[in-house]
Amino acid sequence: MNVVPDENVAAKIVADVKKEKLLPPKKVTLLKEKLASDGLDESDWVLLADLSSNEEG
Amino acid sequence: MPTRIEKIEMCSFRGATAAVALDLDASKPITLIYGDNGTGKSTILDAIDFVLNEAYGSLSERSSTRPKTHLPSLGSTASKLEVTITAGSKKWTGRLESDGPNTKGPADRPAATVLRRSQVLQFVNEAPKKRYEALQTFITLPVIEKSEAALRRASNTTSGEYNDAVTAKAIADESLRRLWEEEGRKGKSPWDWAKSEVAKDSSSLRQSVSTLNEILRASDASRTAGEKLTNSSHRLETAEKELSVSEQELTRLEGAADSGTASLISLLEETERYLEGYPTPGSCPVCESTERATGLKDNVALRLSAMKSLVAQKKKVDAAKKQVEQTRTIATDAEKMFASAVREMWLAHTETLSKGSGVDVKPAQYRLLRETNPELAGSEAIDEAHKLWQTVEDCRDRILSRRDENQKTLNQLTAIAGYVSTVETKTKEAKRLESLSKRLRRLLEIVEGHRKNYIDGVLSAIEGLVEQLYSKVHPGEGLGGIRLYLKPNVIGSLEFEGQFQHKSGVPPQAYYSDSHLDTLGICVFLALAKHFTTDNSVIILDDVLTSADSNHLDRLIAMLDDEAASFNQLIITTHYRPWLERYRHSGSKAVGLIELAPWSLSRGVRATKTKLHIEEITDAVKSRDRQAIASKAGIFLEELLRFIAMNRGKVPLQVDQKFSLGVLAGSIDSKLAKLLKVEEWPAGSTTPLTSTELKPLILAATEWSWVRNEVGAHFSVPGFEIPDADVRTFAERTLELAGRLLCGACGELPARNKSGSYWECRCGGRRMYPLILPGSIAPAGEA
Repeated sequence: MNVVPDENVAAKIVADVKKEKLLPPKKVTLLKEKLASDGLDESDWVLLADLSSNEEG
Repeated sequence: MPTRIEKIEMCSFRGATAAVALDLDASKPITLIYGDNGTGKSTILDAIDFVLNEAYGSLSERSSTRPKTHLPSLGSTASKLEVTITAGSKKWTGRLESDGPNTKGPADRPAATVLRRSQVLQFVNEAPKKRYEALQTFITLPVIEKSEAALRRASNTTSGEYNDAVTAKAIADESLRRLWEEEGRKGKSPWDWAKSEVAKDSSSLRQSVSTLNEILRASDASRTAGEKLTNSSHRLETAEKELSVSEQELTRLEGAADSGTASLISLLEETERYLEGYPTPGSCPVCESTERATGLKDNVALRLSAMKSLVAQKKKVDAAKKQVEQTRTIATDAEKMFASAVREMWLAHTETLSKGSGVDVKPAQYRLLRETNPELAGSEAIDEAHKLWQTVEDCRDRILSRRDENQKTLNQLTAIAGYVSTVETKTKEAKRLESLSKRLRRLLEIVEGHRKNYIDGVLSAIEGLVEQLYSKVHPGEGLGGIRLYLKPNVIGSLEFEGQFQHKSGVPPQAYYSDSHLDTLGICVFLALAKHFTTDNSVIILDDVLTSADSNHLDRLIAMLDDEAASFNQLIITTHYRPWLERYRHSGSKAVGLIELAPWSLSRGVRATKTKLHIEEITDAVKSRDRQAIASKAGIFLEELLRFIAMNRGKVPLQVDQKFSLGVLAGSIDSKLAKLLKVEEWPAGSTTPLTSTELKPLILAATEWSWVRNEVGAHFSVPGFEIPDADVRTFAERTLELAGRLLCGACGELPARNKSGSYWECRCGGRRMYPLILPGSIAPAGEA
């Protein structure tokens, strides 16, 4: 029923993050380490994958 | 083409203890499933949820249940459970696999959205967080929310770690400054002083502390060895005294006995030991005489017994001698250990003891130190060892003082090194965390902002829809003005406010009745469902309404009829009979009716065909059931007259009051009767196809209304005399009136005031006049 618009909202978020250059590759690595030290992994922050690939591209 | 559910087949699923197939009329957008409590309504809806959403349905909301155990019917197993949904001639089959519900079928599976009464109550009664959860199906962004939660946690912990790093650096800085001041502010700054202190070589200090500790431990070990020596010497002295006393007593006893007694005892004891190996000798082992050889062993024992005291004392002396020997050995060993311990202590630390501790020892004066392998036992060795140990022990305080002083210096250097390291590492860490924290906060702002924008957008978009739906159910009641908004700075927390009379922004929970809150919850859900609807959406209302007065029920039904087209398919379950009866009466073309029979373990869920009132009367006429014809036609006529009279001003009926057929017929007086007419408007036409005055039809039906009482309601002898033809006439006249009032296209009565000039049905195919009796108060909206 719910045409989950996660993807649409996610795309807007990724666009904003890219625009502000908030997560260059080094920072993505740093953030991954941070999440891991908090007991989280990338699956907990799904958007991180999108941000990573965008930054690397 | 809409994809509507046509058939639901259940096997071993919840209440469906026996295989059952339910047919739904897919030509109708609404299906009403009526059943008393416990007849299987929730089972049917859970089956839809199970197949279309691969969900556990209502069972997941109930405590102490395990869906995998309790989803299969009582006495059945998960492997036998199977539910098949047919929609648009396609089939989807759901089974309970080890990892949960699993549906197989074509890709374009319809999506079902279920509203249960618990969600309605949750929405209107619970706290904002629970209210949000009630609507979560629609407004949640699971991926974004999960990311946001992880990001928030990362941001919080990063911020905390940054603060910790800054605090740790500040504490280390302050500690260095304090030490610097205590040391007389040497160097340019605490930091310069600390760095120079850390650069110093501390190995000699460490070695000194270690050596002094070893000397102290060696001295302690020597003391322990000396104490053992003292104890063993005391025990030797005691043993020797006891031996002396025992020997003196033995001498006294031997003196009192014959001169040869002692030798005789020895001889007899030897003989006794010999006879232990040869208990029955044939002759004397000494003289070889066979005389008195028998009983020789006993005779020897007897003679020794006679000299008992002497024998016992002799044994005591022997034991004392052994004790002296043992304790002497122990004492000798203790002497060696003590002397060895003292010698080892000296040899291991000669240099330190000579130079640093002020011990004044001349090794040449001690044989113990001078010789390579000195005798370690004996009084000379012990005296030398004791003298040496005492000399060291006399210097213990000086050794301790020196050790402590060195240790303190060492501790301070270690502390300074620790503080310096802390300042350096925490400075780097704080810098890194500050940068990361700023980025995380900004990321969080972006994610949170977009999530809120989206949800607020949805809520804002449906407010108009909610208002539209709610005003249909509660026209002119001063309610509505509903505003939904997220609680600031909280994830998943939904606030709402509304209007009561002329006051806006009030919490509806505080002012609205339970019934008004119920319908509000339903309208919010329907608005959301409409906002997100697709071509194959199935909306399910699971027993959401428990009570409503006739007016509101009629308006709710009308609203649902109006909105049904927006939802592709609307499935409603209810245990509220008036809802079913409204549809049975109107015979709406938009609604398919299913009535559930009582449930039993052996038969499970069973549906029966629900007949409309018109069909029931027609069937009764065919079966020539006089009482049924009269009774059903009477009830139907009563309902038609109630409808005609309602809101016409002449009889402003309070519809829940009980009016007899006679009162209702009388309420339509000549003034009203002259104006009453029904027009038939085919779709697209600009002029009515027919226009019929109702007065003749009403009179034609009501003149036979006495048949209802005489035949349909009482045991009456006069009633028996009424011909069948009269009974049929009553029914036919009632059906004729119904036929004019009910729309042939949508099946509705003309009960809607859309034009402000006349009443009309949903599709506009029937119009009824007058809207109001001249001079009366105008009706609100729906009849």
